[in-house]
Amino acid sequence: MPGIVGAAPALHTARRMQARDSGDDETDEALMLAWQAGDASAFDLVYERHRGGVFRYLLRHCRDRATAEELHQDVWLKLIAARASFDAAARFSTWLYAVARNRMIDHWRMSRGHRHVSFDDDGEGDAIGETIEDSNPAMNPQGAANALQECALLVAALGTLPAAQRDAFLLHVEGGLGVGEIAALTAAPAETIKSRLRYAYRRLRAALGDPA
Amino acid sequence: MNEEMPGTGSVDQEVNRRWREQSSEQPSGLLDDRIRAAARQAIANRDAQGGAARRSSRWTRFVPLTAAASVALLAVGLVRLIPREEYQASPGPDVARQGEARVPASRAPAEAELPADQATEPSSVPPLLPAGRPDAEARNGESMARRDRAHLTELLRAPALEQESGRADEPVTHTDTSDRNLTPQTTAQPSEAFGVAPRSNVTAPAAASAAISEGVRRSSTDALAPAIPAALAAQVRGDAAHRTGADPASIRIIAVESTAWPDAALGCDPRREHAQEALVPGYVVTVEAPGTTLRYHTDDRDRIAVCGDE
Repeated sequence: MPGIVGAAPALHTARRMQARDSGDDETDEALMLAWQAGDASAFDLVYERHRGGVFRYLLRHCRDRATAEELHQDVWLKLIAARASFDAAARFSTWLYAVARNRMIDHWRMSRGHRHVSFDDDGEGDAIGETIEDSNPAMNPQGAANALQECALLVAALGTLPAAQRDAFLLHVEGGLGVGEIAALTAAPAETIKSRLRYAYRRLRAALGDPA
Repeated sequence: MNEEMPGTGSVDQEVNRRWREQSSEQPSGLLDDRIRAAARQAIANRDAQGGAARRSSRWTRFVPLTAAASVALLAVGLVRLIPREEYQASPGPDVARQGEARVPASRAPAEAELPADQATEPSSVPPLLPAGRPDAEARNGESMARRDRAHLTELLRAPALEQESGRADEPVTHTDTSDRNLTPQTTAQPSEAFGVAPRSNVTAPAAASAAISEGVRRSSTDALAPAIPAALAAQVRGDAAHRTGADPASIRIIAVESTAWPDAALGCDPRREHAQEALVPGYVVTVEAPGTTLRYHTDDRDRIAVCGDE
């Protein structure tokens, strides 16, 4: 997981290429600064690190691959366009997932298939659950059972979570964000985020057969 | 409260591990290529814009200099063009004379006390005259010097000529040709050697002004009065005699002031005061006849007029 960087200078391309070969030597923030300075290869590294996480974050929320790809492209294009506003003092992944989350919210607002979607609803069987049932028959209890058989168990279990819990879980697992970062990103208290994560993990453990 | 952080316990770690095993979807390669291309294009566009900006800034550095040069060229062009037009429009001898003639006589004493470099500057020089141009000044100075030199030469040798031939085009002459040390009232540099300051109506030397004509009587302004051509003086006297019925011999010119009339009517037509006409150099000649005083407006050759209100 990329660490927080302070003042990140533009790095030499050769060193960056070496880092590409050796692993994650450079932080996302340093790569972003290098890209801002004109090093196109720096973006490729950043994108390679986060492309899967962002895509799955969107896919688990919207549950449609084509839509997820469309949203994924929008997120990165928005990030490219707003590169000048990136502040190296902030963590890149927090910024990236804030963009992705906002794009997701916009998608839900514009989507007619969803009656009501809110990341702030923590209730059991909340609006997102209802929405999923309305928009995706496979996610009703019977469909979910089939999904459990046919698809990945945890992925199906995640779909039964309230949107806020699912969002916290995805930001934590796919985005690698900590409780504090999720709290800042979602403008919710850290304790609320912890609570959401606890509920999410409990549900997923149950799906795995662990009642604890 | 030692509650374990969610996602960090061993059970939650197992959930995380199982999650990563099952959740491995990736965006398509086509989408990846599109996004990477967009990123490269953004950098390329930025570089292109930056290059254009740099090229632009390279040129914009010279904009102030170019503007200043343009203004300077324009100013020089105007300065060179406009006086030439005035020269052509004016039938007078030269612009310097016009400028000098427009200085009111009443201001003469005060200006006579100015330093030489200021006193030689006509205070009412037409606005676009090259007041600040040394070359123009030099030319004007030389022109005036030539005029004054010729004028003074004529002045100094005129008595005999006037008495002998009475030539109409000769200026009124000095009676004492030995008085060559004509101290100017102002110290105009170009004509200093000749004792005549060229560029002011206050420049006629006292000795020379005493000899304007045989009939000129010194007045308070006589010492400053310039000479007028003898023919003009005779014309004025004759007209005055005709108007008053007096003997021409009794007509006396008591004051002469050089001036520049704003129009061809010699300042006698107030309706033409503001007309855009060339200045007409001339004189205000005050004549005393028995029982009356007449004030003539003349040009510097042969035109005279008595305005209705004078």
